[in-house]
Amino acid sequence: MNKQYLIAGLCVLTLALAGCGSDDDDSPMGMTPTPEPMPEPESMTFTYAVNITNMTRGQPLSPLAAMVFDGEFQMAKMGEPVSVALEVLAESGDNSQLLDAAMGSEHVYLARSAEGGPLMPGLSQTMMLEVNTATDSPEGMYIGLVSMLANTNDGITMLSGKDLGGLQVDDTITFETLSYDTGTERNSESADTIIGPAAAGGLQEGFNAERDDFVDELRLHSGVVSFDDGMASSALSEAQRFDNPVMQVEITRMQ
Amino acid sequence: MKRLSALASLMILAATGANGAEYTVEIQNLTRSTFFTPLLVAAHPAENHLFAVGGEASLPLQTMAEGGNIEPLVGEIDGLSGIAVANPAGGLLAAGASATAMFNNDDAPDNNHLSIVAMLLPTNDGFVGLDAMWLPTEPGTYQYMLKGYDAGTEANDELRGSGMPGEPGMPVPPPLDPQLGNNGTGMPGEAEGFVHIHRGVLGDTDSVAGGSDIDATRHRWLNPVARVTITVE
Repeated sequence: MNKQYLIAGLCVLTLALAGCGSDDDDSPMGMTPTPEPMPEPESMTFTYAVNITNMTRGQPLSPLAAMVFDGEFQMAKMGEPVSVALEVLAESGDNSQLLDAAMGSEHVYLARSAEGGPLMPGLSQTMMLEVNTATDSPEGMYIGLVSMLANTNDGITMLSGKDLGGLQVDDTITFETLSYDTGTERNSESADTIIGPAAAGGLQEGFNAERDDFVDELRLHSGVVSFDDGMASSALSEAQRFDNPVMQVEITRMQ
Repeated sequence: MKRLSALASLMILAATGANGAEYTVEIQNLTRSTFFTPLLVAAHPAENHLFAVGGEASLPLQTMAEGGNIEPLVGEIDGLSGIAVANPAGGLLAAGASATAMFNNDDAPDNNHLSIVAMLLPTNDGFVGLDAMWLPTEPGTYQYMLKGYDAGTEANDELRGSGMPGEPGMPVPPPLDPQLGNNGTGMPGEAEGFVHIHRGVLGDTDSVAGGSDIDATRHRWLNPVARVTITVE
């Protein structure tokens, strides 16, 4: 009884869209209706143009790591130690390990790096992200972005898991991102430990596996001090100081 | 599902429909001890901008950012048939204080984006800014936080000087005068050439000498620098 009711209900629902098949053997015209095949789940392409602008005076942004994922993927969390892959990005600007790790996750549709070198202060660049999904209504559509502030020891900027699910074609959504300290390297600001151009002449070490900051956790950045503000050992001038936000992000859905 | 998205489209249509509204825009200076020079509150079409991050400042923007003179920017807005509310605070807006601008765009509903600028003092060419933000049309109250920008047109020498565009130093109106030091030798740096988020002033703690005439213990700030409350009726 219950089952029949359910089937009848389904039939009514289907009828509204495509008509309902009948299992009546003596149907008019003598046709034996063939059961309608279940439609294949339609794959779909979502294309996003991601335009970023470096809002700082003196912090080149390392090549952007961009990831698009469903609701299950977790980016770095405030107050927790970061992965080695993110440590490598934060200390050297090399995003390859972070992107490889993301691509290894079943929850990530796409993970890739911006082309070219660092994005210098005041400049903008656009990256096209083409996401192919198995269905036209994927579980979730979130974007994450990470880049190093090159004239810091281990500073990054990050857009953490923003929902693009409601974005219609030709719609644009804008964000401004904060600066974070990954807590993996002490902020000595010395030319030997900073990889960016402000440290030219020093050793400019990138990744170092030792975690020697006073706290091994991701937190908001407190800014750099600089030589001009009285830190004699700093390789940074007043021009490398920064305040939030540090990066502007405009995401337009193209398809 | 279909019906839901149709409903969403209808709502978007309603939101972007060419209907004007009555706006009250309150701007509060959130800094600890930084003045805003006369504010410009402007409603204009989406494609117009008083400034753009990463771009070179226009001469009217430079004139505002280096000396607080908003007349050239008001002229630009008038030329666009925009709505300009000039100097709603009637002079300097002190730290903690608020000013309110009111306008109605019923007669010109294309003026549906909001820009706000005013110079930050003491700085060489710093300003508080809001760039072409879409104005809500649903009745209600909305809040936004504004940041400090550097126009990139003048070296941040942090010295008493001129408010004329292209001339070094900072203008010193009477209320600021007793807060500043004297005889600074000048901070390092040059005009940056592009608009960016202001990295803050340095200042120093020597009121009769040192590199800067700015007081490091008083005049630094962190973003945000202003809160904007928009009431739509």
